[in-house]
Amino acid sequence: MTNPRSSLFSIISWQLTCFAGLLSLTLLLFSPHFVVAQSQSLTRKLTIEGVEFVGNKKTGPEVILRDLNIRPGARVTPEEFAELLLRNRQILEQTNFFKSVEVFSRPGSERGKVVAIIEVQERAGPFFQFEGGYNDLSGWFFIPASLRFDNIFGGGNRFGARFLIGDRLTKLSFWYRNKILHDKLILDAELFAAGKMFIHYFGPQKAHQDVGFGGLRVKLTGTGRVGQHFFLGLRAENYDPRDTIDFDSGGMLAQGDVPPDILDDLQEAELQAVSFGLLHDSRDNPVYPLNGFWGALTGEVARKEIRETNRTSRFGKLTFDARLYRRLFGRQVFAVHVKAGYGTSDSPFYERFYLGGANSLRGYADRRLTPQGWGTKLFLTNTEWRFPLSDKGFPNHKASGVIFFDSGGIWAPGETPRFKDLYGALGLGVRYKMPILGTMRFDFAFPLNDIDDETVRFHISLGQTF
Amino acid sequence: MRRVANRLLFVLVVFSQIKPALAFPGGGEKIRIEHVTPRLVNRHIAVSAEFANLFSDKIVSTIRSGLRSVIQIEIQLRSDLQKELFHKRILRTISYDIWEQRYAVSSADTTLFVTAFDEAKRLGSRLDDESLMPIEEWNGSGKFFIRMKVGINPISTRQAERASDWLLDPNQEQEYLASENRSSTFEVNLNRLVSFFISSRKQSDYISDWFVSPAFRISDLPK
Repeated sequence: MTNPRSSLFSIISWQLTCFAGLLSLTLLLFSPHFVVAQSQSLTRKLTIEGVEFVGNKKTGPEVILRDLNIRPGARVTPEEFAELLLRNRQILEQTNFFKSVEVFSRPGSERGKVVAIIEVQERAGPFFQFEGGYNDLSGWFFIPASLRFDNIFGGGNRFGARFLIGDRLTKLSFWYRNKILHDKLILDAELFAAGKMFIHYFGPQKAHQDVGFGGLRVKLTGTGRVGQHFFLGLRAENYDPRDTIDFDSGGMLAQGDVPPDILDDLQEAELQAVSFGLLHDSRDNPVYPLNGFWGALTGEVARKEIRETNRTSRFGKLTFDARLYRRLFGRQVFAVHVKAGYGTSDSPFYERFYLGGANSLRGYADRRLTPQGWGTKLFLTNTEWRFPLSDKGFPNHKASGVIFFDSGGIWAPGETPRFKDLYGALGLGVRYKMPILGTMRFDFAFPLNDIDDETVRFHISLGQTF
Repeated sequence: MRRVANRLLFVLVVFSQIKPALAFPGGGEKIRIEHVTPRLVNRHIAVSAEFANLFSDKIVSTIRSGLRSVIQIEIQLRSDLQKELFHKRILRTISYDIWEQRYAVSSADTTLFVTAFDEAKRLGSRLDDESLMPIEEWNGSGKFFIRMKVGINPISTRQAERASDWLLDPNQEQEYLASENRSSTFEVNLNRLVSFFISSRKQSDYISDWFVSPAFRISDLPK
């Protein structure tokens, strides 16, 4: 016999089950359906069927394609495809080949396929460019007249002429850059004539010497997964140093008074050199890296011939330069730079190392720590704690701050590097992104070694230190 | 004669640098704001508007391939003393689900699904009684007017949507590009420099001009 209470309970529970089932079905049919459909449409992959170009009259598709990283056949989500298109638009804009670049897409031949459309407006002729910059060797420099003929015949070549003037450098150069050997190598060539002012320190006394030089430089850099890590350089140059050294405080050293370290380098010389290098770059962002590594090991062997006496000598140089970036908590970045260099004692002073300056060891004047005759052994570290001062667009934000510690030493031929020879500086700085100029750098550095009785040195430069 | 020739040459050189910056890229019909109608709805000042030429063929084709486009509308309520009383930014995304074959028009709180593009276009190209501010917050009997601008970003990523200032500062991206990869040097393309300085007068293909409504009083508004 069935218990009536239990029978009533089963009817109610059966009705509740039916109601719950209907409710679930209703929810499944309506709102959850949208959620499922929406998330599927965002994550289901599209196949890139092809890339179409519009507006390219002289530039062949192969020239545009070699700069792009959109590959037909790749499978991407709609979000990834949008990012890919926008990134490739930036890449093409940076080639300077086009006045404008726009990216679109269209449905492919069947559902799930998509075609990327790149619409370009080509440059009709050459264009003028104004350039400038700063480095420790040349100081501030400007290029008031730079004429560029990029992609003038549609082959993707870049060449131009530029006239550079700076507080320590004047240079006229003609340059060329293109990919060769089925895009396996990037060829860079520069033909130039220049005059540079080198700074010497004789104790506390600062002096300068003008060196005229010119010649041809050629560099071959690999492309592709393996090739991008290697480069080969060749140069044939002529050096003509002035045979007097002028002191800033007045007076000069004539050839007879010049220290023997420099004397050999005062004669006109021809120089031929071959350099080779290993490169690695795994930075997540070249402008403001949060994580990653950049490193280069460069070696050079050279032959120098003094024109008047036909006396020849050989010298070599090895440089190691590495930068490591690690994101700490939040938006803080720890960055460290290590540079070490070794040159043989036969190297002329203008091929040796220097120390001191905004891009070197901050807290000291440009090249202030460089020994007489310049250094053949160098060690430099820059350690920075970077933090944003503005949040918008991070890591492409407007302003950031930095607290840094620099340390390094430099030694002349015959000197043995010792730990106690190292110089140091502590400091803080601000980087602010300006329109047109890019990142301006302002650093206050406090030297830890007593040189010239300076307690603080202010550096202004462009870009990050490393 | 030679002076005239020199002057002519100078004008030609200057024009050759400026002309590309002044040229209207694409040459399509410009986005326009039409029929802006303010009225009172539930004791709020509300506005309706229609946008013409928002969807060019390229944008339609991009949406149909499965990518999202974002419409951004900037609305300002200003008094006749040029003072901004209220500012509202509306973001809408239009996307096409190629698997389900339907369009989604999404705003901050709603998503509408339609199967015909014309319907999606109609939803994306109009504002219906968009509430701006309660009339209680408006004290005084002076006049005010509405200033409005609309733009469409043909390809948008979720990241780009979060930093959605492109409508008010369309050259922002170019600035970033100009400064990118310059660790210790800078270079300025003179064409881009000219564009930079005259950019306040130049508008993109995808952004309308500011629309300014005639000045009106609250008491004039239909209910």
